[in-house]
Amino acid sequence: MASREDEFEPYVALPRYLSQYPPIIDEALTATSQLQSKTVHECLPLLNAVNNPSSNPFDFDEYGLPYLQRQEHIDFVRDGLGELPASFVGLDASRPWLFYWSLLSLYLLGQNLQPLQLSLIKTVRPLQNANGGFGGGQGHLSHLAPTYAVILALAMVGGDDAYSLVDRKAMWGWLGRLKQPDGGFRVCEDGEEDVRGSYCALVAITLLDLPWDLPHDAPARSAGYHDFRDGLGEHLSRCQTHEGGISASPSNEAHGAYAFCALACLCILGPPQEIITKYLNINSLARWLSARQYAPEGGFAGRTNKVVDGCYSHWIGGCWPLLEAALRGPRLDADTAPSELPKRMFSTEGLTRYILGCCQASTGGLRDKPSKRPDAYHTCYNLAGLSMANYQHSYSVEELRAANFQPSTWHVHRDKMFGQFSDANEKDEDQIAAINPVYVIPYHAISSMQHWFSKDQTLFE
Amino acid sequence: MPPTSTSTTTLLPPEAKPPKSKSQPYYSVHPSWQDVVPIAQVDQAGALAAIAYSPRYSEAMSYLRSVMADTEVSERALALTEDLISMNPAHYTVWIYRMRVLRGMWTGAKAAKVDEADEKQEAGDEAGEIDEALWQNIQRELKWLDEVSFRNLKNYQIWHHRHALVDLLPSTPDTTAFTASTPSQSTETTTSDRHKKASTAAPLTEATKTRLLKLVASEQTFLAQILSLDTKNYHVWSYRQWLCMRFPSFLLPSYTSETPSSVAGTYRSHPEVAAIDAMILDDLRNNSAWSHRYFILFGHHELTYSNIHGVILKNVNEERLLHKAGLVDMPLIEAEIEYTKQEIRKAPMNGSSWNYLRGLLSHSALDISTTRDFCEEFLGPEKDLWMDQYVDVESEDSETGEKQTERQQIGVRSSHAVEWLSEIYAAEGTEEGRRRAKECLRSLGEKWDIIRMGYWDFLGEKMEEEWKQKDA
Ligand SMILES: [Zn+2]
Repeated sequence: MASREDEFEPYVALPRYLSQYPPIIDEALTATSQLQSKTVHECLPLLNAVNNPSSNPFDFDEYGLPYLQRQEHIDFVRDGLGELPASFVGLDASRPWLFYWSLLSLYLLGQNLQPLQLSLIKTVRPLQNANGGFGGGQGHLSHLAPTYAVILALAMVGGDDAYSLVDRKAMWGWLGRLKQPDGGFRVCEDGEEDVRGSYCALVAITLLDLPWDLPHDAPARSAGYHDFRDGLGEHLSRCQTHEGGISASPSNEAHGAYAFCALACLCILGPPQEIITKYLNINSLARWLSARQYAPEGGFAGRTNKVVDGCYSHWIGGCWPLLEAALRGPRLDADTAPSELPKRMFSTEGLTRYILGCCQASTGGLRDKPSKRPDAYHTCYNLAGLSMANYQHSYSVEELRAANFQPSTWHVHRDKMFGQFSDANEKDEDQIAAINPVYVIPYHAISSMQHWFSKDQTLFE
Repeated sequence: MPPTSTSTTTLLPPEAKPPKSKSQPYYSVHPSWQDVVPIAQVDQAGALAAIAYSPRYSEAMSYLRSVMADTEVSERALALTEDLISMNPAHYTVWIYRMRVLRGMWTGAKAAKVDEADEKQEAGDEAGEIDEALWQNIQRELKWLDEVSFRNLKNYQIWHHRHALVDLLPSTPDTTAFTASTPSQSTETTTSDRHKKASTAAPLTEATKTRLLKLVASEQTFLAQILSLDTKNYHVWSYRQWLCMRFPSFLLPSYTSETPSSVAGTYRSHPEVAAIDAMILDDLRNNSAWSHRYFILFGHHELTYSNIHGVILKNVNEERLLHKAGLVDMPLIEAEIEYTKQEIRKAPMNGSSWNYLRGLLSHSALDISTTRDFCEEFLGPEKDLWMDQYVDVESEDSETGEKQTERQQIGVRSSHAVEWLSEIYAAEGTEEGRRRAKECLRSLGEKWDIIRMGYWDFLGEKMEEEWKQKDA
C-alpha cells in the first residue's frame, strides 16, 4: 500500500491524502476555488464511507473500497439499449455513441457481446451513406464521430455480417475529402477540424485496412499531400500548448479529451517512443498530465483548475499507458511478471478510489461526480479508466522490429492490482476486462477485424 | 431538454411558423409542402437505443431527408432547419444543411458542399469590399444565432455555424499568416516573419474596414456576455481564438501596431488584452482566460513561425529560433513576468498562473533559474521544505505577560514553487544543489502532493540518470 501518512486506525485506515483536505489551501476565493471546495466537500463523505458507522462493512473490500456493483451497472447499460422516450431526442445525432459506450461497458464488465450482434447490424446499416461513412442517424450526414463509434461497435461484436456491412471503398473516398491542407481532418464535410477528427480517421483507416494513399480526387492532393499521414504529426504538434497539454486545434486550451485523441493518433502513426518524442515535448506533456490528478478526490480533471470528472478516468487515464510506453520504449517481454512491472506514473489507488467510491450510482451506472446522474458515457469511460488502472500495456523489441508494427500488436500485463481486483484467486468474470489503449476496444476485436479486411485488397486497385 | 423556439427574430413571417405542439403533424398538412414526398425512417423495430420520436420531430426529419436529397435551396428549407434546431439543437446535419441553404440563397447556388461550390463566396473580396446584401444577410443570421446561443449555452454546433458565417466576410491582409504551409509551399525566410505571408488579400477599402471593425467589436461584446454566463466554455473560447486569427490586425496587439517593435508600453489597453485582464481579475484561476492571454500575446507568433518554416517548436533550442526571427518581444515578456508574479502571490497554488509563467520563460528561452528568489518566497522565512503552511506560534503579551497562540502562515505556501525549485537546484550543478533538488521531490511525494508520487519518483530517477551521464 502506498500510503505514507496513515492516521490512527478507525475501521480501515485510509491514506490521509485521499481522505482529508489537501495540505495547502489558498486564501483568495474565486468562483473556481468555490467550485473546487464544493467538489471536495461532496467527495469526502463517500471516500470515507467505510468508516461511517451507518455503513454496512460487507459493502467494502479490505482497502475500504466499495465493491464494483457489477450487476447493477450491467442492468443500467442494458436498459439504455432499449427504447428511449421522446425526451432523448437531443441524442438523436449521437446514437452510435450509445452503441459503442454500452457495448464496451458490457465487455469491461465481463459480458458476452455475441447476442447483440444481429440487432447492432440491423441498427447501424441504415446509418451508412452511399458516399461513404456513417451518420448519427438515418439521413444524417456522415461524420467521423459516429463513424468511429459504429466501426468500434462492429469490431466488438465481430463476424462476417458485421464486417461486410461497411462500404470500404466509399469510406476511403469520403475520408479523402476530409483531409485538410494543414495535415488534420475535418469531422465531416463543411464541419469543423479538430484532433478528434484525426484520431477517428486513423482508427477507421487502420481497422478497415484502407490504403494510406489519398484517393486521386482528394482535395488535399493539391496541397502536395499523397498519404493520409502527410503533415499530420506536424499538425498535432501545433496543438501542444504552453501548458504542455494538447488542445482541439492550434491556439486552443489544453484539454484531456483532445490530449487522448492526439496521443492515440500518434501511436497509430508509429512506435510511441519515436513518434511522440518527435512531435511533442514529452516532459511538459508528462507534467501537465500528472497535474490532472487531484487529492483527496483521486480522480482526474480535464483542464487546469477544472474539477474532477469520472469521464477523464479514460481521457486522462488513457493517456498514461501511451505516455508510459513512449517514455520506456520497448522494454517489457510479453510474459513479464506483475512484480517485475515498472511503477505507474499516476496513482492507480487514487483513481480507483474515485471511480468506485464517488462515481458509482446506487441505481446502477457510473457518473461524473456524486452530484451528477449516471449516463452511458460516464459509465463507459469510468470503467475504461478502471481497466487502465489495473493493467499495463507495452510492446516488445521483436514487435517493434516487425514490418507492420502497430498498436494492435501490443500486449497487456495484469498489474499488481489494487483492492478487490487484486485477489489472484478470483474468477475472470469478477475482474474488469483489459482493452487496447489506442483503439479502446478488446485486443482480439482489433486483430480479427484487421485480418478479415486484409484479405480483400483488390478493391482499391 | 432545451426549450422550444420562442425566437422573435426569424426569417419567417409569424403565420408561417410551425406550431409548438409536438403531437400534431404540420408539414404533411401545410399547403406549401404538398409537392414534397417525405422520406420516412426505415423500420426501427428491434433497433438498439431507438428513440420514440414525437410525431412532429419524426415528420420534420422525413421532410429534411427529402429536401436534402434534392439539395433544395429555399425559404421553406431554411424554416425547416430552424424548426428542427428548436427541437434538437445538437443536430449537426441540420446546422450544416442550414449553412448550405444560406450560401445558396445568398449566391444563387444549389445547396452544394462548400468544396464543390465554384469559389469560396467572399463577395467583393477582390476589391476588398463587402457586398451590401451579403453584409445585411450575415447580420440578420448572427442576430438570430445570438438568441439561439443564449438558450443553448452548452451546444457547440452553434459556434461552428458562427465561424462559417463570419468566414464569408473578406479577409484582412494578414489573415493568411495562420494558414499552415504545405510541403510544396514552404519557403526560405530570413529576418522578421512578423508580417510574413501578408498580402494575398487585397487591401480593404475604408468603408469595409469600418464595417469589419464594427463586426469585431460586436463579436467581442457578445463573447463577453456569453463568457460571463459560462466562463470556461471550450467552444466559445475556441471560436474567440479563431476570430483572432481571422482578423489579426484588429484583435492581436502585435498586429495592431504599425511598427513591429515592442507593444509593452500600450498592450494592456488593447481591447482584447483588457477583456482578458478583466476576466482574470474576476477569477484568477480561469485557465481559459490565461490560455487565451498566452495565445494573443505569444502563442500566435509560435504558430506563425512553425507554419512558415514547418519547424516544430517543442524545446528551448527550437524556441531560440523565435529570437532569431525577431518574434520575441523582451520588454513585453518582462512586463508579463512581473504581472504574473503578482498574480501568483495572490494565489500561490494556482496552476494556471504558474503554467503561464513557464510559458513566458520557454517562449523567450529564459532560464528557469531566474525565478529562484521568487520561488523561495513561497517556502516561508525559514526556507523549510517541510514546514506546514500554518503554524501555531506561541507568544507572550508584552504588557500582561499572558501566553497566547496565533496561527501564522510561515510554512510552505505553494507546491508549485517546490516543484520549480527542484529543477532550479538540480541545474546548479553542485552537490548541495543536487541534495536540495532531491529533497524537494521527496517533500512533494511525501507531504505536499502525495497523489503524484509516481511522477515525482520518475523525475527523481531521471535526474539521477542525467547526473550519472554528466559525471561519467
Ligand atoms: Zn464528464
